Amino acid sequence: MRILACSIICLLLAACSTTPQPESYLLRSSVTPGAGGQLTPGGITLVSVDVATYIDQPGLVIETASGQVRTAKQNLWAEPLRHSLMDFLANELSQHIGKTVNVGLQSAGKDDVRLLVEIDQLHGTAQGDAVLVADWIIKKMVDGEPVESSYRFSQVEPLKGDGYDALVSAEKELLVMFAHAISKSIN
Amino acid sequence: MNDLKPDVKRGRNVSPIWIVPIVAVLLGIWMVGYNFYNQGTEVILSFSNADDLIAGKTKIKYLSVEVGQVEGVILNPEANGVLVKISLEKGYKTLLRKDTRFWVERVRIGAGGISGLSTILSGAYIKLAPGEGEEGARKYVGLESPPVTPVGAPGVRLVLETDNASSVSVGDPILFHGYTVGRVESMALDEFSQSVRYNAFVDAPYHKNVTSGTRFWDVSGLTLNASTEGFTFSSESIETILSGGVAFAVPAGFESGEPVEPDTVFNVFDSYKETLQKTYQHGAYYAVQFSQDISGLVPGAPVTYRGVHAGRVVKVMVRELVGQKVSGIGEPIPVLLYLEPGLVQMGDTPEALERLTTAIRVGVSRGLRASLQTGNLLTGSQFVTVDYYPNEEDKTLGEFAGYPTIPTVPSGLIQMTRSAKSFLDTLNTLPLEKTMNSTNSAITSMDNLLKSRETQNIPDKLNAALTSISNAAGGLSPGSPAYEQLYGALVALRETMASITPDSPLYKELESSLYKLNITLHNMEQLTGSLSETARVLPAPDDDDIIPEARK
Repeated sequence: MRILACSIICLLLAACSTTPQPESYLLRSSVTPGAGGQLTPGGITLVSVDVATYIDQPGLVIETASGQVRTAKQNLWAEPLRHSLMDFLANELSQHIGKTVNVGLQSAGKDDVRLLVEIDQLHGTAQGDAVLVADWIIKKMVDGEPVESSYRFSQVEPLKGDGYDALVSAEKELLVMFAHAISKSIN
Repeated sequence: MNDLKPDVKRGRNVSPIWIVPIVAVLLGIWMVGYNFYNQGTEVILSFSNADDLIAGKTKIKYLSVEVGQVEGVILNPEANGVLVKISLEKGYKTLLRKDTRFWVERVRIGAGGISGLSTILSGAYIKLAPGEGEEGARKYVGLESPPVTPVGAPGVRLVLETDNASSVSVGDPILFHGYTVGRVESMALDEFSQSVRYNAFVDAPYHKNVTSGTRFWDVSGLTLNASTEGFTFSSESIETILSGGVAFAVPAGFESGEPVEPDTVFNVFDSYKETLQKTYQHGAYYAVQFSQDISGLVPGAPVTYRGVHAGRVVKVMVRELVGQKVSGIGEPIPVLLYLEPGLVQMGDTPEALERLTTAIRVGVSRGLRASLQTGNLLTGSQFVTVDYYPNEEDKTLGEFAGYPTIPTVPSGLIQMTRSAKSFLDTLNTLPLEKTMNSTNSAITSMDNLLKSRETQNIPDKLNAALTSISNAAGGLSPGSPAYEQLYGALVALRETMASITPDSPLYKELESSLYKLNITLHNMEQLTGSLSETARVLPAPDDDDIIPEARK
């Protein structure tokens, strides 16, 4: 009888317990647009940013083993990665190049340098690193002829601490480095 | 001794041997009686010859049943035929009627086919067809060929008369709309009328189609007729082509009339076309005299008035011409015409004829002339046409051999010569010189026009106009206002279209909404998961996210 009473109390307590509130992380560039001074019209357009399917969802991703990933359910991106990545990269590129980077195809000028980005991997690893693998294509007119160049970026950044905050920070670091690599390829 | 006296007994009076003759006599009486009782009926048949007939062997058959036998064959008293004595078995005496017919059945090969093949093996036999008349006749005239129509068959028997028997023969079909409805039974030459008369039988119920308005015509073989109207070719069925035949119908436009009695006489026309020709009672003879070649003009050739059939040529009156005791040479050849007012729809009355003759008399004074025309170039057949020639001088009706004559005008080559002369005269009167002068003047004016300065400036003006057009078209070159305007419109259009591209705010908004929906669904999944967990008696610990750890 005593065991039954204890069980009922435990059940009631379990029912009253609340599920933890998921954490959302905002992917924003630390560079404020226009903070670096007057930007000149750049003639550069970031046309699109495509992301791999496994990271095109709210949860952050941890690679637990080779080829095995786990998507977090309590630690989510605050907005779709393809949008936040596009704004993030555009800001970073503007900072590195010193020129305005347009976003979207409709804002592309006739003679603009066009940039197409594809994020292949962006996740944390069980080894305590953040991984970013991405490709980009630059299309521009040289002497009236369209010229197309392809590049690849693959970098690992160790986490500076435990937890998802550290993972998001490491991924931001990687994205900054990626933007830097792009800017160098444009120049 | 008395014992030795012979005992004489009187024998019987009748010897048994007499039984034999008595039986023989009785048997003879029975045989005579039997023979008399079963004696057949003797009949005498007369045939033209006794081919295939053998006394005591040739059978008499009716419906392939033996009903008698030829008993003897002898010549008739005149020795121009044979008398055949036949004996019909007793039970068949009723077959002997007044109109019973006998004929010899033997192999016959004709246009209608081969018959009597069975007699090749069995030998010829006499066939009889019982009639429907009175009984009791014992002498008959045998038929030389099998009867075409059975006795008593329903229908009507007609007499067809024609002048030419070359194409129709006994057994030929009688056709109604191409369908065989009867046959020709016999033919004979009528010495009185010198015509051939056929007995034809039309089966019931088609005999109702034979009326007083019916006309018969010969459809034998192929008919190729060359006349002024060209060549006409006609034929009926294959059967009639091979064997001949007679068709009948009521021609279009004719009254059908009343049903006819048996043995009504009909004339057989040579063709259907001839049946269409109405015969009129009233007509008038006229003579025309031609001073040209009249070969191809035959009796029966049409006489037309402006193409309308008005009569026919009766004959060429050469004999009458010779009888005229004409002097000199080159006399025109007279031709007798017969004109009928009924043909030109004036009516077949004496009054109509009077009107016709009056019209011709008056017409001749106003230019009515007869001429010879070629009806068919291939056959060379000619006909007479009557028409008005206003340029002809006034004339009156003449007379030849008692017939009034219509004046003629030459035709053919003579007419052509006249026409050619008339044409040349007309050509002569044309103002050719004046026309040529005018033409020359016009050409000179044209030359001056071409040489004028204004005309020569035309190419330059044309070139300037083309340059203007080119400049106008150049207004659309890059940099021109029109081009800028067009480009602006295209940019606006692109911006409009961009509002629904993947980079557009609208699209982003939609995608953001979908993202929120995705999160909601994710939360729902968590909720369902929690509910599932809650449903358990003891809740399992939450599956927390893996915490990323930095390198140690």
